[in-house]
Amino acid sequence: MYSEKFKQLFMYPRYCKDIEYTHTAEVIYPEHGDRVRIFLKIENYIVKDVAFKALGCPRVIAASEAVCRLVDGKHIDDVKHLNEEHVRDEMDFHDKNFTCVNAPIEALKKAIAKVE
Amino acid sequence: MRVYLDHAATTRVFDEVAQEVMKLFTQFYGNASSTHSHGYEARRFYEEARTKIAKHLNVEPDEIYFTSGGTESDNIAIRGFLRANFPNGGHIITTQIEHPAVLEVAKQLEKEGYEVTYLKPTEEGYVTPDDFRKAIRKNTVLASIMWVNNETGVIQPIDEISKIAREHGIVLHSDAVQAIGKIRIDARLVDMLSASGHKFYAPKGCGFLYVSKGIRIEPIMYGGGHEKGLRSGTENVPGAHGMAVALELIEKNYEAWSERVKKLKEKIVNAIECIPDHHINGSNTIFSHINVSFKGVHGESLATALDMCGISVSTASACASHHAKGRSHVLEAMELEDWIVDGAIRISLGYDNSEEEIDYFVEILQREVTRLRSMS
Repeated sequence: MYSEKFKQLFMYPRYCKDIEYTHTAEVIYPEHGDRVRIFLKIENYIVKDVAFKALGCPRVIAASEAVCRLVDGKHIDDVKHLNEEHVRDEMDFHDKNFTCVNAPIEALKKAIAKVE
Repeated sequence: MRVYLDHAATTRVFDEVAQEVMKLFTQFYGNASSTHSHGYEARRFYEEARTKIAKHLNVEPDEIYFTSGGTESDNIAIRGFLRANFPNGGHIITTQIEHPAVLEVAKQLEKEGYEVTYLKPTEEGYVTPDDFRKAIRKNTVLASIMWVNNETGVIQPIDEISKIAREHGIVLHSDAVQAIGKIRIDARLVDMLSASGHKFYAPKGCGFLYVSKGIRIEPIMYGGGHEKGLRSGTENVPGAHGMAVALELIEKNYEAWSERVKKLKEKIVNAIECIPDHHINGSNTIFSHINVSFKGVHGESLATALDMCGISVSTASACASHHAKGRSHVLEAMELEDWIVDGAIRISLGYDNSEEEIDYFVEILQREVTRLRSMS
């Protein structure tokens, strides 16, 4: 059902870790039992480090890892342009019936909204 | 290593059964309704299967009707009985934890004017005889109560419910799909009973319905008048024979096999007990089932992680708004906490699981629960 790329994200996440962060935000989808928190360490508008915590379905965990991989080292302006398609490509998961992949994207957007 | 722990979903056909069924595909392939020697020899296998299955259930051969499986048996039993006896309405008692093959029929009957009471289970997953008694009305004509729940494995108190139904002259049907081949049951406790071959090591696409003599029932589909007019369609001789052979094998080896599975279940339960913050869902469960939730772990994620390690278990809950299945209606009916409902996985053992497989499973289970918890 899931691709090798998806499996790598879900089974061997690199970004599920503790970091010293400057910005964070959480998104909860209560009807799914999903909860995601994204942590960002931002210096001079650059994402110096990123991490996540997730309790949820496999797609939420894989999407959280995908988001982190996509934004690590990026300028905040680039991060702002991150969308669902980018994340789905990174996950190699294109079933649009599952909207839960948006949870970490929403958490990321909430977190960077606080960047001044 | 690949480990199959989803025997409540389906089972691997026994080798002996597969060989026997193959014989019917290639050697005794006649149409059991044909009046020539090819037909007669197929008919002989078919009727022998009926006799063996009847014996297994402690009923008469002419009370067994072959069908395509559990869903069809449930539909014929419920709709066929009502059509024959109460076509203009009446009250039906069932439970909130039935398989959709009964629940969806009940919902449809409501639309057609029947009244339905859905009994609520306790938080341990069974309906109580007391609640059953209280639900009875003057116009109650039928009850449909499953023998064993497919998600939790909880055995329902059919013997007590049977007594109450008999006292009140209510016809009792039971979906025994998860019970046949696992626990010894006396079908005489109920008036109609549904079973499905692939749940007890026979092929998919075959099942049967027991209807006690004296119960009037009408077909729900029409054709060549097979199965005494109740279930038209060319006789599935390989399926019927496969079910009979599978049940014979289980009967012959039951003590040893069931003891072995019980020990494997014990091993899994002991391993689960070592993992903090878990909840085993349901009590008085069948020896092959474990339904368990781990706090801080989503059931679908755990099942997927196990799958990626070669282990097949099932989960009743999936993302509610995107998936046909949604949350488990069984665990929700038991009014369990959200983390328990979202976290549940179903482990269902079979007679063909080995100790080595279970050792591997418990090692991976403990590792993956710890890993997924550390992510939340």
